[in-house]
Amino acid sequence: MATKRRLKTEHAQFKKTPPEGVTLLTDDPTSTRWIVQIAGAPNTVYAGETFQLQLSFSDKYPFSPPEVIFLDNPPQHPHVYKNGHICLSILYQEWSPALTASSVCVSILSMLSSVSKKEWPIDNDSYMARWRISRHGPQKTLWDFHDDTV
Amino acid sequence: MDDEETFMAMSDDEEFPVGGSDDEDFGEDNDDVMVDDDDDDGDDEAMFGVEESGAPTLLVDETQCTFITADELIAQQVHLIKEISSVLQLPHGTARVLLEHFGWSKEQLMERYWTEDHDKLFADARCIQPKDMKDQCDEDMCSICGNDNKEELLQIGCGHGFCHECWVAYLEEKILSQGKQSIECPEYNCNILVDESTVTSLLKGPAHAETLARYYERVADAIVDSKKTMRWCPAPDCKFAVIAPHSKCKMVKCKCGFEFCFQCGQENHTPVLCLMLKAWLKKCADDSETSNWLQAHTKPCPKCASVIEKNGGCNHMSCRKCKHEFCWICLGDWEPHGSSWFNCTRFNDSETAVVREKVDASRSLLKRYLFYFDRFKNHQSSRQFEEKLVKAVDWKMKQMQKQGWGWVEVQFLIQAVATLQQARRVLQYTYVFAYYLKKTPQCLIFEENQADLQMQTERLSEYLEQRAAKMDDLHNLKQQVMNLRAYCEHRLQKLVEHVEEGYKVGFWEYDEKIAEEMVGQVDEFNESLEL
Ligand SMILES: [Zn+2]
Ligand SMILES: [Zn+2]
Ligand SMILES: [Zn+2]
Ligand SMILES: [Zn+2]
Ligand SMILES: [Zn+2]
Ligand SMILES: [Zn+2]
Repeated sequence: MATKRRLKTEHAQFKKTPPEGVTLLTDDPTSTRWIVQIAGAPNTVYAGETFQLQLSFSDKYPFSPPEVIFLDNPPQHPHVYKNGHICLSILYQEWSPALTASSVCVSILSMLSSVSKKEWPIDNDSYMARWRISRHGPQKTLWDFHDDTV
Repeated sequence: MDDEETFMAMSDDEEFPVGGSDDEDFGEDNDDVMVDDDDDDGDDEAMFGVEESGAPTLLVDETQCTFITADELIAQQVHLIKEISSVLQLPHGTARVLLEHFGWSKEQLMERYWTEDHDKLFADARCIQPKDMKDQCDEDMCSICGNDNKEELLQIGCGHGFCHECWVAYLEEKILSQGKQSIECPEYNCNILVDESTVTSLLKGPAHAETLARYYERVADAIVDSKKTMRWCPAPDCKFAVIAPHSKCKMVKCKCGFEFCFQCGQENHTPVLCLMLKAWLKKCADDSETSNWLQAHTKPCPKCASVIEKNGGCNHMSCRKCKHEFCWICLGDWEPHGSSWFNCTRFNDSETAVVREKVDASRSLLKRYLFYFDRFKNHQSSRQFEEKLVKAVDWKMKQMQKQGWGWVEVQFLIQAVATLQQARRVLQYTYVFAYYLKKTPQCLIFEENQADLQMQTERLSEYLEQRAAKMDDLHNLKQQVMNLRAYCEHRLQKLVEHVEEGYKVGFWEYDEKIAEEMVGQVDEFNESLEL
């Protein structure tokens, strides 16, 4: 299957040349759920902290995007909700099959590096309240993307 | 009142007065209008030109629209692409993307093409200029699957190459899962549109026939959406798009016979405005889940309490068990209905005033809503039942033809059913209108018109349902049916014209509390009421 072949290639590539600050923790090249560790870049508010991302690939990957969330203690960031959901357009509408798991992680790391203050999203409370009832994954959310330049 | 007397005279006779000349009765109605609208006599004469004057804009003008199918639309589009492609010396794919960008208007495209900067024009249209088109791929590898067989890579002028398999999987995802026809290059951050001919050639063969068919459906949808004067007929299984003479058109009739609102796409909802209907339907949907009063189909017999199921359109019910005759709407005896028809259609304010003292305000609002909802629903279900009348009438028409009547001569029966259906539909929506209305003198006139229409509609309904099949004197039957139909149509016209006049002149006042409850903002609501 195209999905398996592509994931295998990406896995090998990711292990061989990981981007700076990004480590693929999952060793099984046939897994469709990857755990990636990202390290807050030096000279940013997240310097010295590490976070874990979970990437889940459906059998439509790479034609539909992986579901990406932060595990456990997500970074306090205006585009990251307390349940680990991430508001980033390339994970939803702006996804392109030419993007990869590794490029997605790099985008998330640079999203973290772009803020100078730790803040939760302004709508965190209402988002969490809705999520506690629905328990929808982030791809079920109709994202109204925050200003991407933040 | 004149009208009531007329009616009482009729009902005393039991049988509808046969051959009672139209002119005479219409004459009486004419007086009636004068009485109704005594504050503005000058208008009445102009308003009453019922037969001669043009149909009110809230009724359907059947001559104004043209119709087109999806296949015809696509064929028209191909023709237009060819024309532009040869005039502007552009490849077909480019001509198509540009045309779509300019809403399929040849004139717009030509004008902008000759006056605007091409770099900007092509960039805005998400299209590569012929002079900038690349003839090979930037990379030697498909960036989706890693396939490095250069022979298999295909790009659309922007240089981003992908193998055939990846292209097809990508198009399937966009068309089948996301329902798109406007599809960008798969490369991240490349917004160049995949043109129709590329899609067609990639989705060749029976394996992709369904995907391609879906693609063309979406293409046709996009063309219709881009035109302010086009709309798909909402009737199930109807293939036509209606082309209206102008974008402000209200009620239209499709070639398939279905009448709908060109503005909101709902079935013909004369005389209520789109916004009220939208709010009403939302309220019905919100309330239907939590309410247990939605038992529009059964009621207990007021005398013996056995359950009566409504199985015809007529409101004149008789209990099978105790033979009690009653009115489905008010559950009162049928007997006195000849003189007290109004009680069935009017929300009796003096009665609710008493109620209001006892129960709180929200309860009264709910009661008001239920009152109108019940009547709205009742006409709706009558309309469904009346569909079987069409069959009965068809049978009767065949019988008549066997007895030597000409085809044209028996059409009056099916025409009467059509009038009945139209009257029921209008009556149904008058309850939505009435729900929003504030009690003003004009509102009382409206309620009288509504009651008049209701009365004539029930007479026509009862006659067609219960007597027409049994009538042996066919000339008598024809005369009666035609009379009943004429009354009904006249009442219908009168009601609609009055409502419409109110919109134009601005004499309708809406219940603020209810308008607010429905839409949130009264100002916005009032603004949208302006025609
Ligand atoms: Zn490929
Ligand atoms: Zn491209
Ligand atoms: Zn139709
Ligand atoms: Zn409408
Ligand atoms: Zn009974
Ligand atoms: Zn009644």
